[in-house]
Amino acid sequence: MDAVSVAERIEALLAGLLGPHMARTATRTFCQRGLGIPPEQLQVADVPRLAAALRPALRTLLGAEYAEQVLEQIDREFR
Amino acid sequence: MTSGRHLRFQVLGALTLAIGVLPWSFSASLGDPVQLAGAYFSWAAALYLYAAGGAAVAALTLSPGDAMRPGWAFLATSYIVLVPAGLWYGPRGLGLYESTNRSAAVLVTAGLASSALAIAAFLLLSRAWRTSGLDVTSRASRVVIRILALAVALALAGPDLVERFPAALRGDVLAVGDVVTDVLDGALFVVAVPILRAALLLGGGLAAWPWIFLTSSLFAWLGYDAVAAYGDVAGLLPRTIRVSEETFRALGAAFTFAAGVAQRWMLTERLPRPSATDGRGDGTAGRP
Repeated sequence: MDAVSVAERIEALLAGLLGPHMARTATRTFCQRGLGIPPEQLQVADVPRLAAALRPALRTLLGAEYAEQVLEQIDREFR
Repeated sequence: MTSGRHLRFQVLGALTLAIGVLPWSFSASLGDPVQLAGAYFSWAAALYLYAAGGAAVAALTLSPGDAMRPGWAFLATSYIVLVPAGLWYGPRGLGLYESTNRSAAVLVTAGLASSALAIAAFLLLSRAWRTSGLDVTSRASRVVIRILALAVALALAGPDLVERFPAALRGDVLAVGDVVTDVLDGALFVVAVPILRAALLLGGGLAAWPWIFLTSSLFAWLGYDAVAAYGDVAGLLPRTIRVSEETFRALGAAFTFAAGVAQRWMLTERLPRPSATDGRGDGTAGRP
């Protein structure tokens, strides 16, 4: 799996919920804010840190309980 | 994401639009203006409870401490406060027949409380959206949208504000109520602008639906204000103005109900499974 596909898989996970545009924006934004890297450089090992960066945004928008379910799904996807 | 996941939200939206037809149906079937005013009286009370119920469902689905929960709770309360005042005041002949009612002070006070609660609700919901950090649109575009919203708010509230302001200065309590209501209605639309942006930016995702319905509710209430402000100028008959107002009232309340239900449906939806990525990253891989 190359780095681009990691970001794309996270986008695909989020797209059903946030819509394709926002999923792409969120992945890009929090890769840069949380990890300081563009999504193209995202590795599987970076996923927990990206999930941590996404957590406050998702908790605010979706509520704590549902946000944790989303983050668990991301975690399962890359376990 | 499959379109099937959106189907029940779409059906909810279509049913909500259908509710907007009912005031015209009442008008067509009830020629007697007194009977029609009575029907609208009961109808409005039911609508406010309906809207409050939907918003309460959303508030109760979220957990204590969730950012959006107080916003939904305030929104529910903003409709509930209108019910006892409306019941106390009784049917309004406005636009239908000459009537005498009890003092409108209670109605005006409830209206002011409702507007203030609605502003608090939309401020809290807008704040939740802003603090999520997901809105990465430029500051310039946000300012432009705010200015446009302000212009619309002034266009709708301005004429009544100008007309009633002198009377308010002379100490007419009802005029003071009207002026404050105009200002609050205008402020509501301006503070709710982030909700419109959320609806647009989340487009295609399940999370968009509550915001889409909230935006629809806001537009319906704008329609209500527009008919009230410009119905006469547009040459509409008083009865047509009243029926149009009731239509927009119905849509404003019913879309609030829909927004609350959509919020619950979204939060209790099994998480969408991602399709195998196809390079588009939009979750549409595998769609026929």
